[in-house]
Amino acid sequence: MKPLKKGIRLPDFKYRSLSSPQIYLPEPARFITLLLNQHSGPAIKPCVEKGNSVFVGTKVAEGSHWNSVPLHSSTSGRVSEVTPTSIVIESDEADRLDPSIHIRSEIPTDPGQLIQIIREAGLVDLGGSANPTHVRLIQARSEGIHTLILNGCESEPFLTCDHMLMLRHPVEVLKGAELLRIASGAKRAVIAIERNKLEALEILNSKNYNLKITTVETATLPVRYPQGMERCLVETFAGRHLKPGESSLNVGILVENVATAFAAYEAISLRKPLYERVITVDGPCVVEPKNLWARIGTRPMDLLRSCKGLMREPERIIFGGPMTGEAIEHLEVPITKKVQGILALPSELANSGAEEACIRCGRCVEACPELLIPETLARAVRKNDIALLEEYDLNSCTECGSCTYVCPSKIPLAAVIRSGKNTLVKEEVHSKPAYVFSSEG
Amino acid sequence: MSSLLKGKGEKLFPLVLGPHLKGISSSRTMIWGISAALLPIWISSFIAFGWNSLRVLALTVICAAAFEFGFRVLTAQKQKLKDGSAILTGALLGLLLPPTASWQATVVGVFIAIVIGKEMFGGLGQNLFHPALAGYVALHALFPQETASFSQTVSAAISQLFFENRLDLPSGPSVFSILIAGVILLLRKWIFWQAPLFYLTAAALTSYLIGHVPIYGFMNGSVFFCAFFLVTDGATTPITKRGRCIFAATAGVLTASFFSWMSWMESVVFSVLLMNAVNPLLDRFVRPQSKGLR
Ligand code: SF4
Ligand code: SF4
Repeated sequence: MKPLKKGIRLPDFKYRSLSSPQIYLPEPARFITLLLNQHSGPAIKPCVEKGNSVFVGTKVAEGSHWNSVPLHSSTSGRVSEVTPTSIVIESDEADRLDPSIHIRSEIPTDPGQLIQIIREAGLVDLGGSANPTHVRLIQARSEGIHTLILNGCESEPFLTCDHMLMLRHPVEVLKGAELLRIASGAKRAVIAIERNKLEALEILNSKNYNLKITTVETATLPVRYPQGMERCLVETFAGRHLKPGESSLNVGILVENVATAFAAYEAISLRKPLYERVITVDGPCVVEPKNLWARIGTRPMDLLRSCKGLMREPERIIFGGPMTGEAIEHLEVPITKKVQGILALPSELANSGAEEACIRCGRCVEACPELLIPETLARAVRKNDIALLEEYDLNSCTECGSCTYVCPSKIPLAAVIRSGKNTLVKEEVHSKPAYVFSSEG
Repeated sequence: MSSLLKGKGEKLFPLVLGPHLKGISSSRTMIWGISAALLPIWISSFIAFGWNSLRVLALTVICAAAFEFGFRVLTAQKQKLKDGSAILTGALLGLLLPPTASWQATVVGVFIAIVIGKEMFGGLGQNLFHPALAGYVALHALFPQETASFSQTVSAAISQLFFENRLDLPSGPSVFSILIAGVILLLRKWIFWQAPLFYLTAAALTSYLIGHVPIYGFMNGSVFFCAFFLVTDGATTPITKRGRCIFAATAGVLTASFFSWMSWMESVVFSVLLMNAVNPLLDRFVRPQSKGLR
């Protein structure tokens, strides 16, 4: 193992949500809005109509393409609106489960069957990239991988959803890891955990002592950002870096999130589709930060209510972690399957964009996990110097944001580099495609 | 329920790109901090020269600020005095001048440092040569008698080496005061520790190989000042750590070699300026190969 050497240390900020030591059920929301483009892959179409009544877990949209992922209702009630991009369901607050959800008495051991179940349950990578899990499993099977890494690093500040999941549901995570391992054809599964979550590690190990799943191991990694990014994890375990665009399957490794393992367990042994997930609602503006079982399609407003609301005006609302997450415009944007957290950042923590001249301190170079020179890349992007960009290997940037974070002059290096990627790809259509990076887990 | 939970249309949050977390370091703090870290050196100089040294400091700092302000007014650029870089340049240049320097010479030196050495290149971070050194060299050419520096020979006592005010750096601070300032910079992580280490080691080894007498002669104000304040400057040294190590080591070798022909002060200045000139080359060729291209 070669843990990440570069990268940065980030402030933790996890203690507030960890001090509510449960995963809480939020107050029920009246309306939920299911966006149809929740996964990366072919589009899906609604299979319900306005006025239909649905149960919790009823399939409401599906696609004909094998690579698409079906979508399930996360509440019981009446479909109140169907648009080409979303389905709105009004809850009857009865929370009746779909009759198809009941315990599966016999767990299949055939990988094909498992993958079929995982697809039907609508699983995507819950670590932020929303890649369909079944597609990745099939690719892994055909490439023949040896290791399945379950990413429990969670190296972004504030997020504790995976941590809490491992603390509260260790057996499910372990069993899910084993099921995913069988489905992917790997010889072993490794749950990778950063050293700030040693109690989760301890619980997993002690449960596994009794469960005796010998193919599932745990590994500890240093606390460093972006250790939890897929490429860094693969580099750590494979001992070599990936070329831009190279898939981790080439080195025999598949990375999945621990939350995905948990969802796989529920899908396979409880027949429960992915209609809810753990979400961290945190940020200094939130009165009582918590981890919630958030139904897909709930609005942040409703989830914030379950955390006693906001105590001050946030500067910015973010879906996901503060490094790789995306800002949202208002509190009514419904959450999707890939959202790990909802953060309300005040002005003193939010990057303001007041930029100063580069003093060439070299900190961005020291931080970059891909050994790039962000300062030169950003300068080249701003000067539109494509030759320089190629020479300094723009496409290797994983957009982890470490360079922006350390820059004392507050130059938005990562954002500038990202914009440069877009123009470079546009101008040179024939050049190799920029790697689609999965976000941090 | 909190009134802050508003719906659509009432409050729109900005859709900015990540990362969203604001870093804690700030270049303003860094530059002002480095300027403040010069204080022990100035105190030491004050002990040696009294009000004369303060006069130089006041003159250089005020002129530096004024020249930058004036240049930016004339060229209609945004005022950047708040970033502190002009003040830092002024204070650094002041340390390179003997407290006996006339005010005309000082003003001319600051003008060259700020206007030609720094602003003409595009301001902070863009300059090819260290502005304070540029100012010093110009003065050296224009007013040789005022900036003449000489290397004192000292007896071997360590206390004398470190604690006495010596004239190798013309403003006359003790090596000890420079070390204090350097340690402050290192502790605050405003400079990478590799640069001073490589510079001093290279200078010591080269002195030893060449056989300078006395062998500890390289332990003097100008060499230590260079180790902590000149080869650690961001704009005029390579951006990568490896590049900085090479820069510092080469500068150290050059400094010790040049001492065969000139005073310590001059050899420091010329070795660093020479390395500044090759810095763009170092930047281009000494860099880690990105992982993707390896
Ligand atoms: S971290 Fe910022 S100021 Fe420092 S070299 Fe990089 S871009 Fe320049
Ligand atoms: S965003 Fe790109 S350039 Fe910046 S540190 Fe991450 S990989 Fe390096």
